[in-house]
Amino acid sequence: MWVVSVWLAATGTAMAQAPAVAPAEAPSPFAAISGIVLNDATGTPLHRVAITLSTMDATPLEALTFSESNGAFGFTAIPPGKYLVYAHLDGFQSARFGASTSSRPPEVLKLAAGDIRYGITFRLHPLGSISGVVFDADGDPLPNAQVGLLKSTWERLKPAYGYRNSASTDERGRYRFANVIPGQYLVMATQQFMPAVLVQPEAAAGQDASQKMYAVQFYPDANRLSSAAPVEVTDGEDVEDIDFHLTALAVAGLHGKVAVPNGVPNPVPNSIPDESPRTPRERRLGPAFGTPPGAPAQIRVYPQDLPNSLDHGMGAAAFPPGYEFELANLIPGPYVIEATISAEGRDYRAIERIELPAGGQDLTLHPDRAIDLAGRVDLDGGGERPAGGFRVALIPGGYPPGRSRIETEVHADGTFVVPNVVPGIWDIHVRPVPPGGYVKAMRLGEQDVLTEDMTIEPGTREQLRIVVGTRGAVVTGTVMVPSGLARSGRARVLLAPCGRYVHVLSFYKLAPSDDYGRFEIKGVTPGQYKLYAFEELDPAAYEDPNFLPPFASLSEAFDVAEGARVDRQTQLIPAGSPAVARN
Amino acid sequence: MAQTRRLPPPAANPVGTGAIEGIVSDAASHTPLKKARVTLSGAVALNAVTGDDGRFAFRAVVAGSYWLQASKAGYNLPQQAIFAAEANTAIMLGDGEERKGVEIALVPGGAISGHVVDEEDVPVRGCNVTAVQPGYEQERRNLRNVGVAGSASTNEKGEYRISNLAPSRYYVFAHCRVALPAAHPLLVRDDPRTPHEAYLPRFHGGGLDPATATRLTVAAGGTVESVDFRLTRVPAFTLRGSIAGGDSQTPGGINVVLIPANRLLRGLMDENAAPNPQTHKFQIQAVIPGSYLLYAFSMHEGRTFAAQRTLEVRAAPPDPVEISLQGGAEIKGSVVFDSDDHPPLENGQVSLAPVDGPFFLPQAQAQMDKDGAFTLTGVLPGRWRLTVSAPGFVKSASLGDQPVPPAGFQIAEGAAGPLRIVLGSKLAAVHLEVAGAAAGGQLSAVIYPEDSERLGVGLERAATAMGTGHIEFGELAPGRYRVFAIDSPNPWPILQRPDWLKALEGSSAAVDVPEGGSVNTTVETISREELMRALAEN
Repeated sequence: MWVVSVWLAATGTAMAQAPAVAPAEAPSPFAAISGIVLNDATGTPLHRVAITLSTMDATPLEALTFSESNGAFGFTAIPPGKYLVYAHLDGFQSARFGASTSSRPPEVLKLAAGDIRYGITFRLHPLGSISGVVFDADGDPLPNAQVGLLKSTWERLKPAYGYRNSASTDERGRYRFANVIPGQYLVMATQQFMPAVLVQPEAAAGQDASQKMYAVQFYPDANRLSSAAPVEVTDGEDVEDIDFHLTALAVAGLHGKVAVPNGVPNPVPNSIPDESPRTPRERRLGPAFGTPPGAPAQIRVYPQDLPNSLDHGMGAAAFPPGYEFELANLIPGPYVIEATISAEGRDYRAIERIELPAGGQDLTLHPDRAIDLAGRVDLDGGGERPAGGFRVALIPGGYPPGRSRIETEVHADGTFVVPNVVPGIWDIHVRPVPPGGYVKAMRLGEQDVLTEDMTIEPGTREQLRIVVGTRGAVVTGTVMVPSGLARSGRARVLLAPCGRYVHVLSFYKLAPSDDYGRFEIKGVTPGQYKLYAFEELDPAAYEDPNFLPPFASLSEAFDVAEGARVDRQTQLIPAGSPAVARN
Repeated sequence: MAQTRRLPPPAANPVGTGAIEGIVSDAASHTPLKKARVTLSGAVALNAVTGDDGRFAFRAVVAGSYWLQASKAGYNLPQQAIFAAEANTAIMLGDGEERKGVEIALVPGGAISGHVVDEEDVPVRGCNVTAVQPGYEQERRNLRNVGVAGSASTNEKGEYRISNLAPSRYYVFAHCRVALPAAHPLLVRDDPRTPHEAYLPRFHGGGLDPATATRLTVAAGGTVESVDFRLTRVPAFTLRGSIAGGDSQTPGGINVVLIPANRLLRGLMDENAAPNPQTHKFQIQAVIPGSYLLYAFSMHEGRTFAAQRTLEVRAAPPDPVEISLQGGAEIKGSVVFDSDDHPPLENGQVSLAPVDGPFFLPQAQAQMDKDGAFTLTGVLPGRWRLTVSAPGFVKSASLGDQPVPPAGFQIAEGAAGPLRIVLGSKLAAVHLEVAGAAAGGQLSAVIYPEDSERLGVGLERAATAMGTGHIEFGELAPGRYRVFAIDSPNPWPILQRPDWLKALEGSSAAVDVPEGGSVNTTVETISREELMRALAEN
């Protein structure tokens, strides 16, 4: 109700201009804050920075104001409560008050009636840029080349690279990535889908006229990811001359056929005979315009030596009745070929890994039929099933990425069927887990798929049994600041499984501690754990199996039983500790 | 497991003893062009890429007819190339012939560059700046995006550069499609009352009215610099609405399009939304105050549901709009001839095309049976233009016993037919004597109705001939026409542009064609140079 009355009183302007209506002698029922925004690199004030004041609710209340030309900002008429403050300006890293980097927890402002908090200072880090020129194999600037910006990350406990941005070169061969967050990047360039245009003023009939294509190149002049060198961008830095000299390689052809399994209905109706005269090429590549097309098999081809998350897949369609396809312009090397086809609502999928030789290759793909995965969800530990019922989702795991998430409703009796699941690795999500609860067990037949990958095979007949426990454990505690360190107890507290479940990412829990070092982690799966309190932690860092071991001696393992409440102390690991600086 | 085998080598070109040699040059600087890709196609297919001297050579070529084509990123074919039958060079090569000195000139693209800043001179990032030329939609003038090459986005310094523009005259339009949050007190995140602002789009040298804007001339290979914009922030609103009615089973869903009421701005500020398939609610962000038309439609298996309404957005958030999709009307009708002596009607077609409405509105089409009866379905309320493909001309039409002009008439909501169409069977002919053309050269002649309202209903005709001579246009509806001839085999681009037809009016002849009559007239050929001069003004 407070909120509505403040809105009505505020005449549509920022609260900064809507002072409290209380008389001067009475204590104000509201709080106020004020501060300044500075450019961290130059120390100068920043104008028109968007400052957001936000409550801590799941769907928060937010107020917005902008800094003046002297960098100052303020909010008045703030109802008492707990708040976070954010600052955002195009060209700078967004910041949360109290966290000098995005890897630190922010400060929570606890505001009481009449409180006035001064000195909310933001020092924003300016973003950088990376630019350069792409040259072709003749040494000329290459227009319309694709350039990618990659950042190292972790996927399924393996190092991977994520695409952060992409750009095309202009008619002068130049590219530029602006607003680059300071850090280390890999930069790659190529020109896809078209033959390399290289000086060759004479051509004669009957001579070899094989075309060349550009391979992917990583900076600096590296043909493989493993020999790429990172480009470092610091605050506000314009990194220039990140140039590429692309290499053109002779191409090879891939011709293939999808051996459609028995039982797939022929999608071309038999009653319409195909009498149209066709050339061998038309017969091979599909029905002529005007004849009823059958559902083709979709082919995707992924270069294997590129970072996993890059969708550099090329496509083709294999039409009935022969289901043949051809990709003429591929650079020899390792590829993953994926074929998918649907018939009568059922998917079929084949995956083949090949090393495409210089002379081209011919292959036959044998797709496997999708299964219907039946199972049940049980609730353990008391409590009611969620009102809207459970939902089970399967998320594609592993490579290549050409599948979509499948979600299904769990019936009132706990049973479910996930339809049309093609063979491959799938991650399982069950929702909603009740507050304080946890996923207690997931088994596919005899296999524990809570702690191991679930691989669906064409012959999988086992049931997927899921148990949701309502009695998750609670781990509370205090972050101890080493004496002599003038720091608050604010940290990112990581609860990490040890022993045989160290690889199970879903068992890891991350929570912030407050100024006094207090933290609480709910819904903990029973098991053996260690606690780490990082002053600064990139949330993805612990997916690196080598990240935590150097800190292992700072924490003692302890057991957590189902439904238990465990209180522990853990020591603050200050920012800049060797293993932290590595990231 | 994959079964593998090597692929056989591809079939080779036949080998002969002829040759084709030449040079590719920059049409602006008249210097040799490096890195131009030259393609020879015909009896053999060969590719070459020029070096520093711009030269290319194809050897061991068999006799035959060939097309020779050159291309390079950032370069275009000369504008007159669109009036050639094919945008390349035709070559007849004899056995053992060595054709030398073939010249191909490519026109370097021009560029427009500048800055976009806000009221406080702070650079604005991510704004779309578009080079705009007058275009034509259903023969009516509007400004149209000249294509992907005709637009650019500002970088973090507010800089933009639109490159690869064909030499011509352009308006430049800056439009930042972004909703900027405005200061506000505590509100639930995503509260519909959260205020926003947007940058007011504008033309360079003017506001939102192209009539006040500056038109820039971009030369081949030249850059027009400092085409700067200073944009102001204005309150902007989220338009919310819901769709009712229609066919909720439509697989493609429902499209909602908000377009400016000012026809000249269509295509520059269109905003699309796809309503949520479950709730049928939609929203369009960053709508600035102004007059708009809101369309909603769905099409599935020939069934059309649509709705349209005008919308005024003023200084306060607009009320949520509720749109009720209506199935188009079914209109039955008949086609009859004005006399008993007429050809058979079978396979004739009746179509209604939207007039004034945006291009995306669907046409209504129906096949007539041998007695001339037809049923049009999915006819939405609005202004329509009637065309009939049958061996005759539309003499008159009536809707529900009211006479209507075929070139444009109103169909009200729930309008019942019948749509009665009377065809005249007595077609006319015009015999044209063309003078002043080079002997042996290809020329074409065009006849079109003088009244621009009657353009685009199938009355235009074109014919081609070799050299000076006689051209006959038959099967013409009566009326006043204009005719002209050009020394090019491809007059079609001109027929798409009423302004070009207007520009050539002085070189054309007017002719009154009576029903069933036969008229003789004479025109002088317009040379390619004159044609390019006349069209360059537009």
